[in-house]
Amino acid sequence: MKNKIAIASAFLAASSFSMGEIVVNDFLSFEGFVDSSYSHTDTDSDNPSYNGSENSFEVDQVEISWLFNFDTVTAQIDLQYEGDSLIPTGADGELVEQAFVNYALANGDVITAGRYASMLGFEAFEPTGLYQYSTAYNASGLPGYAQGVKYTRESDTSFFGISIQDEAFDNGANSLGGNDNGDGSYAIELAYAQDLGNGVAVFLGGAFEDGDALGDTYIINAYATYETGAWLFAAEVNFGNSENGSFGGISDDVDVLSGLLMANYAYNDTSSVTARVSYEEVDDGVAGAAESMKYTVAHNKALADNLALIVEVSVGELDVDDNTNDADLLELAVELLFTF
Amino acid sequence: MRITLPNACAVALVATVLFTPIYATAADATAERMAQMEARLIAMEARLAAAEKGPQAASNVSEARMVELETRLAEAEQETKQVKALAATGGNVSQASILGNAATFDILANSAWRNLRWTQAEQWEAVRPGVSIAAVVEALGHPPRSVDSLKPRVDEVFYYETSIRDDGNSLRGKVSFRKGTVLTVQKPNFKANKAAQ
Repeated sequence: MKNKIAIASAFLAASSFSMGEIVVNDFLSFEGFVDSSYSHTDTDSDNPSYNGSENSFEVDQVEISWLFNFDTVTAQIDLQYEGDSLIPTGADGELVEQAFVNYALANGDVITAGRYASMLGFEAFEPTGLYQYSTAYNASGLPGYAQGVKYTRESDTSFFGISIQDEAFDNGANSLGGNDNGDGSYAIELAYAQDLGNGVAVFLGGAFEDGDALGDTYIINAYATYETGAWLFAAEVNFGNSENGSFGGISDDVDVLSGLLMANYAYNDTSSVTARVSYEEVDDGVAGAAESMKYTVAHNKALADNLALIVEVSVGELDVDDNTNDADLLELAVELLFTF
Repeated sequence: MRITLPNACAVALVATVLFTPIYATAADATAERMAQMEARLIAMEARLAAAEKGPQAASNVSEARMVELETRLAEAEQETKQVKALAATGGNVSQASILGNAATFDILANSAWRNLRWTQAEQWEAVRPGVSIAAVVEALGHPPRSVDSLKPRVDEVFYYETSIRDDGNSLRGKVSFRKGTVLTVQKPNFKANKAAQ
């Protein structure tokens, strides 16, 4: 798919606006995508209840973004349908994925308020920014969307952002400052990216969520990219700890460690291949660690500037300390992505 | 008054007599204004060329004067293009009747120039591979449609289109970008469009 510099994900999070759009008038434009796929998954586990194969053919996600532009004030509202989640009540398929307002200060810095995506993570939140069909992790602990206020500063070669928000790990949504029913009271996220030149860019960020009674949660995210010619290489590592069960596990002290290595090669104007290896480990100190490795190869063919066909094969290995739930997974997927 | 054939003919005749001079006057005014500006432009270009010639001439012309001349020249060029764009896109409407006054005319001219300057063939001359996004927007205006390309070696594509449904009368141009500069340019087929008209 799109062989853009990975650091752009941080910059896009800051500017919050993609350039691709259908202009209705000077103040309003639209953009969006339709993502559909066929996938086949085989599972071979030590636990027979997990064995079997599944086929899926569905529209995975549809999103329409409303982009408003009033000079120094801009805004974006992303309306989406995600899989077969319930709309508008589905917890993971919210109708309004993002809704925020940007106010550009005189020096070019931006204040953002509303609901927006986390600045952390190499991999994009949307399929339009991925190099494969699947994402690298199942339980990396990286934050998703949250509500709050964000300050960002961006130059041609660097990016800085700080965000104060209601939650980062789903412990206290909608209650910035805390309330009687939730454990979390606030979360803070920091991000810094630097383009070092010669195709090298680095990113360092972290998120901390305060827990009133059960405990706090944090995660550190770092990645680097190197682009040379038609090649793009990326490496990422994440580690964190939760005292309140944010990362799963059965104790109040759960560590997570995850990372990826990726290489993408555009072998002509319309096609590229991607290879990725990713690793995850969750250790709660009681039941033992669960480790997983995932190997992915994907081929992207752009049929047009706004239509792409992605074919992917992924092989996964799950290794659990109790040796009763070890599993091997094989996934084949064909994805059709249309953007506008 | 009853609607009869003689009455209707009389009303049509009166309306023709009343409104024709207004449109004619407006069209004449636009043409006269363009002619005046072009004459001023030619005169300024001549003065500027004279000022740039030879050490003797250059010594008599101050740097400030040169800047002033260049500024006025740029303004005159812009204004001429605006009027041409408006005239080419049906802008020969009456200043005195429907649009009310010259200020309205100027606003419409600016708007037409902002949105439709890409329909002028000469505006595409500045759009070449290697040129920045800002330079493209300066020459052609903001595109009516753009897309973040899914092609691996293209970041973004600007589409300049009048109508994608009317093959006979449409103008379509496309500019693709990679790392902030123009990668490829597909100019509208102005000759075919003129022939179709």
